[in-house]
Amino acid sequence: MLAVFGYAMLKDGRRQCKDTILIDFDGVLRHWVGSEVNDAERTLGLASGTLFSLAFSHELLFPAITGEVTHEQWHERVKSKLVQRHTDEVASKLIKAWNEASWEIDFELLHSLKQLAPTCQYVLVTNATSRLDADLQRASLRSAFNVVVNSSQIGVTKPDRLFFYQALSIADSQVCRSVFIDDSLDNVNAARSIGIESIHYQNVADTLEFIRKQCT
Amino acid sequence: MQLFHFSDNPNIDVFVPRPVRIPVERPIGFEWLNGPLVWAIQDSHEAMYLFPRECPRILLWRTPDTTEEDYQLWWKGSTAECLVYIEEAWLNPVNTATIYRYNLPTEAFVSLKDAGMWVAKTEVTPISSDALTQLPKEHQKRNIELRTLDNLLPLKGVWQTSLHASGIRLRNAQRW
Repeated sequence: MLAVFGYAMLKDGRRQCKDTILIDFDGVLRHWVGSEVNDAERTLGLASGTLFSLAFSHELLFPAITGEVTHEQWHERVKSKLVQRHTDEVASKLIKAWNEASWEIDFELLHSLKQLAPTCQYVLVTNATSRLDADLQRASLRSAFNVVVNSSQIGVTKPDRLFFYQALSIADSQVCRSVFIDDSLDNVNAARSIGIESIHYQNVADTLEFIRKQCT
Repeated sequence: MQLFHFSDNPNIDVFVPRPVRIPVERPIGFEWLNGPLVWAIQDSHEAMYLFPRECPRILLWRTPDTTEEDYQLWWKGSTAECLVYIEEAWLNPVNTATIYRYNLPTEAFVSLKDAGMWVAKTEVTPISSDALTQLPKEHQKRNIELRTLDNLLPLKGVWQTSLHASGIRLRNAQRW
C-alpha cells in the first residue's frame, strides 16, 4: 500500500467491492421544492436571493455547520443582519418564510440504492446544523442510515479532508471500502483526493450505475 | 535498543554538538537543551522522523487513556499503530525523498525520558548509516497510516483530545 490508501485488491486481482456508501443529504436525498422564500422576497419587493445570500454567507453559515452556534442561533443572527439592512417586519417575514420552506425526500433513490446494494452500510454525511436530527425524525429517515455524520457535531465540514477521515472512523470503515455521492464537485474532489471512489451526483440513473459497478 | 539520527545529509562522519537552530522555551533547569548537543531518537520512536526533515507533520497514537469517544471519531476503522497527517503539498516529497539513518553508539547519550529523545554533549561517531529511499514502504512496515489534508489547521484541537499527539516542523505548516 502506498502513501494514500486506495483500492483494496483481492488476492486474485479483482477489485474489492465497497461496503460503505457515504451519501450527502441536501441536493441528493433532500430537495428544497417550495417557493416560500422567493414568494416572500417578491412580495416584499426584494431581489431574489436576498435571504439566502446572507444566510449562507461563510460568516453566518460556518458557525452553524461547525456547531459553534445552534440552528436557532443561526436564524437569530441572520434575522439581526436583515433588521440592520431592512426593517424588523421584513426580517420577520423572511425568517417565517424560511421556516416554512418545504422540502421533499427522494425516497425512490434511497429505495433503489438499498435494493441494489442491500448489504452496504449507509452513512449520511452532511454539512448540517443542530436541526438535522429533528429533520430526519420528521421525514422518518433516522433508521434509513446506519450512521449519521453531521458536521455540526464533529466540528469539521466538507470539503475538508478531515471530515472524510472522521466520517470513515465513525462508520468503522476505510477509504478502500467506501464510495461517496455528493452534488458538490468540491466535496467530490476532496473525497477523491484521499482515494474514495466518488460520483458527482447529477441524476439517479448515473448514480445507480456507479453503485452497481462499485458495490455489487 | 538502538539510537538513530535522521538526516538528509549522506556524508556525516562525526556528529558535533551544536545548539538547536531555533531555540524553544524550556522549563526552568532545562535551558541547556537549547545549547550544543547531539540529538538522537530511540528506535521505538523513529516513526516521527521517517519524513523529509522539513516536512510539517502531526503524529497521533492511542494510549491507555484514550476515550471511546475519541477512538470513534479519530481511529475506528483503521488498524494503524500511528496516524500521520501531512499537507497535500508534502505528499510528493514524502514519496520521493531519500533520508539517511545514522546508527549511533548508545554509551555517549543520556535519555531525556521524553518521547524517545536522547542527547550527547560530546562528539559522536556513527556506527553505520543506511539510506531510506522509499519512505511509504518504511511507513507500511511500521503500520503507519499517512493521511493528507489541504493544511493542518483542522488539527489544532487534537492536543485537547485523549490521543497522544506530536507535531514536528509545524513552523513550516501553512498558516500555522
